Amino acid sequence: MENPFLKRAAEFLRDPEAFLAIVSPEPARVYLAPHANDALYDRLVQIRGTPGSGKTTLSRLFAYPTLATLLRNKDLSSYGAVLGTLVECRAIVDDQPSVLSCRLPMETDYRTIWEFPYDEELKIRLTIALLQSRAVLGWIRALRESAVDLSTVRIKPRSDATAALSAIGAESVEELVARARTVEERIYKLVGALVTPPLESVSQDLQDAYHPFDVIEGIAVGRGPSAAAAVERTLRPLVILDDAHVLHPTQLKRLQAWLARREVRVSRWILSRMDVMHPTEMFAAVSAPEPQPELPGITSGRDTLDIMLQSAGKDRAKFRARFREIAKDISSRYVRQMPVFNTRKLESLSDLLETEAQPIADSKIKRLSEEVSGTQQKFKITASRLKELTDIVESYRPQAGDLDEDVRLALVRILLHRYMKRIPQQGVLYAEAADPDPSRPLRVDAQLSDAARLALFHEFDRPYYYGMEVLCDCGSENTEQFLHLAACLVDAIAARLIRGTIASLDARTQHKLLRDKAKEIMGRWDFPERQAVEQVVTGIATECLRVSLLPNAWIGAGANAYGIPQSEFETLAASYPALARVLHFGLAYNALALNPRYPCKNKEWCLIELGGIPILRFGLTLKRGGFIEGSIEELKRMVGEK
Amino acid sequence: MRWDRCISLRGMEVSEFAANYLGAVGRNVVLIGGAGFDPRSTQITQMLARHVKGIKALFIREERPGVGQTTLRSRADANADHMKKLVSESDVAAISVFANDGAVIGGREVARLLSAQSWASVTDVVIDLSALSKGIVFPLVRCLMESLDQQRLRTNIHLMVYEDAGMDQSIVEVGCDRPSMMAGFEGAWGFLQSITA
Repeated sequence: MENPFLKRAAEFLRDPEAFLAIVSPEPARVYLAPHANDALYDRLVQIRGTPGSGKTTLSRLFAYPTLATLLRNKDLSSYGAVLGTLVECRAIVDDQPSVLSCRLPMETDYRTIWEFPYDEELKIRLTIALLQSRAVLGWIRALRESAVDLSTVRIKPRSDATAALSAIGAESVEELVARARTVEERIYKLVGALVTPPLESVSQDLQDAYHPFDVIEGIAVGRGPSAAAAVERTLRPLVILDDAHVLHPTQLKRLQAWLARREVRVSRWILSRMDVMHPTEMFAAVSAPEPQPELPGITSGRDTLDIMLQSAGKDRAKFRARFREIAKDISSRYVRQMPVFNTRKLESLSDLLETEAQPIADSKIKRLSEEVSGTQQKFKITASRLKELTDIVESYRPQAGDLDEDVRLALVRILLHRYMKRIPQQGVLYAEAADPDPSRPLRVDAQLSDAARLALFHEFDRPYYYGMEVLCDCGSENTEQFLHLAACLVDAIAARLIRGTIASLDARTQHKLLRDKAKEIMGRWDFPERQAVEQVVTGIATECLRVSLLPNAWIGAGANAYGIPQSEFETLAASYPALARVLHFGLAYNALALNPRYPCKNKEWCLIELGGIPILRFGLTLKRGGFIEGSIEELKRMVGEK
Repeated sequence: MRWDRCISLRGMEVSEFAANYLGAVGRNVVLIGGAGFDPRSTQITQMLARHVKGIKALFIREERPGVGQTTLRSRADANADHMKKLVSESDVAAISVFANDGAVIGGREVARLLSAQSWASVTDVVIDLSALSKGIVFPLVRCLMESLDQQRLRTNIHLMVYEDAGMDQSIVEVGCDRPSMMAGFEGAWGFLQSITA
């Protein structure tokens, strides 16, 4: 049986129908729709996110064949939400597509041009010419694929560029395509040569301008013989440069500057991973996602629109809640695609992931209870003090449900250790009957009960990772990561359905499957500096775990981050480039996340947080904020750098 | 039809071939090989230096970014020194496998290096694949063949490898993080016309 959770990438779904059946409109609604009336189509849009964050899926949603298919089947209720979102994004206006998009993957041959021994000016001209020729071919191909009669298509030039129509062959579609093909073919021959031909052999017409983007304002379709095509519609051409991070940094900067010019009427989006930026810029971008001027003459916000698909800066909590909504929507759509679920009217993955805790066995509770008594005796704590601490635990009312007995005992044990830290030590050592009051009152809160559950997980194998919200948080706001983790749970549920047993997964099964999957995913990590990233992750996780499991749980729910003073961190990219490169890839591939300018103890910290996969693998808390203090020197030691 | 006369030798046959054919009077042999951390780097150089008088060599040092590579680097230095001692008339050329931005450029870099060489007086080029990466050696051979063809030279190309599958398995590759074709072997990959056709 096919599990769509394993088939995440939009590129694997050839037909628009198959794509529309599973795509969630939520990312487009959340990230793009708010800008539909201003920036989305009239300036350069730069969308950044980690691999698997849904960039390509977003671009596929705006493809002309997708829009045409959607409108052909607009009465299907399952398409309603997608249609609504695309209307909100103004990709569909008056029940007609309003944009004609073309996605150009940058990972083919553009980067090679930058290795040519020519001057930078010629190299950027060749890059731009290749890109424009492919965009033109892509737009026409999209119309052809959607069965648009090409004889009814005409290019609408900018009012000041009518005379330039013939230069790009735009007087007819055939000529336009022929000219674009010639340009592409000639540049491709250059790119394909193992040894770059000398400058003299680059034909003059390639060096000459080919600028359809400066001429084209719209592409008009319709006015065909049929009644339906009687009215001409003008589509706004949209070019989407996907995976732009593969371009050379200078090449990309020049390209961005060129695309950001206000006179360009073609809509243009650049999709890239976060590691498109130099470590310095990347660290700065995740620190302050507010637009920063980085191109000469170009002002972010006014000339470009920057959209981050990952949480950054002060809106982190909002991002996490937003991602939970997106993940739930996507998982419901995928579940509905699976006959084994659909035929049983099971439409929500959340409903199949039990949230009821599974306390430890009675024999283990007995052992824990004995340990509490042992701790009391060891520290010579009076019975009345123990009762007082137990009462504090008993009086705590968590938001959901009651505390299980094992958690209560673990909490009492933590309070005993905390009590010992808050009284003068001599009082206990020399005066057995003494029962001093703690220097600060002891109390129980959600953080502490989470610490108790974490301790029970590591000591007694009590399930810790279960429920839909935990699954979403393990996804680190990355759709692909979420789906990979969800896939193993979905497979297990499907197997139960087929066997005819209870479909929903209990906490223990979820916990085990998720941890096994995380281990498997980490074992398959394959990206630059993988080994060094793994060393950093292991170093941070091991220390976080040690601190999280200290008997007095001073760090609360637990630690999952490594804090470096902000001022020290800011020197990292310039002073320690090799280490910066390691962190750069760790961040780019979701192994790590950055939480800069975190205030704690009257200081500003930059927190290097572990991603969802390492958190699962090492058994740490998913709650944010708990960190261990560290330094760049210590990080360097983790990767074996002297 | 270059491959019509291709021959394959193994084991002791290789040293016999080196002694009897490459070591014969009048042969002008150039060795191209990798001077890296791989212990196999020196084996073929050692064998050829023993049998072929006046052999020249171009050793390629593949450079990759990364932390914690001091051991590999010192092994590579030791191998390179040893190989230079074995072949007195030799050069070591550093080739960056990755550009600063992580793009794979090694294939084109090695092609650029080879295209600047003169092969007119050379009768045989031996390419020792043992310690060279795939992304370097394939473009290297292709570029060499094209250069010789363009210059209408009848220089022989010999590919040699000191095989050790166990060693290959224990070497951890530093891959590029995106799928790409080897330089010079793209064919119509990425050519939009071929996709739309």
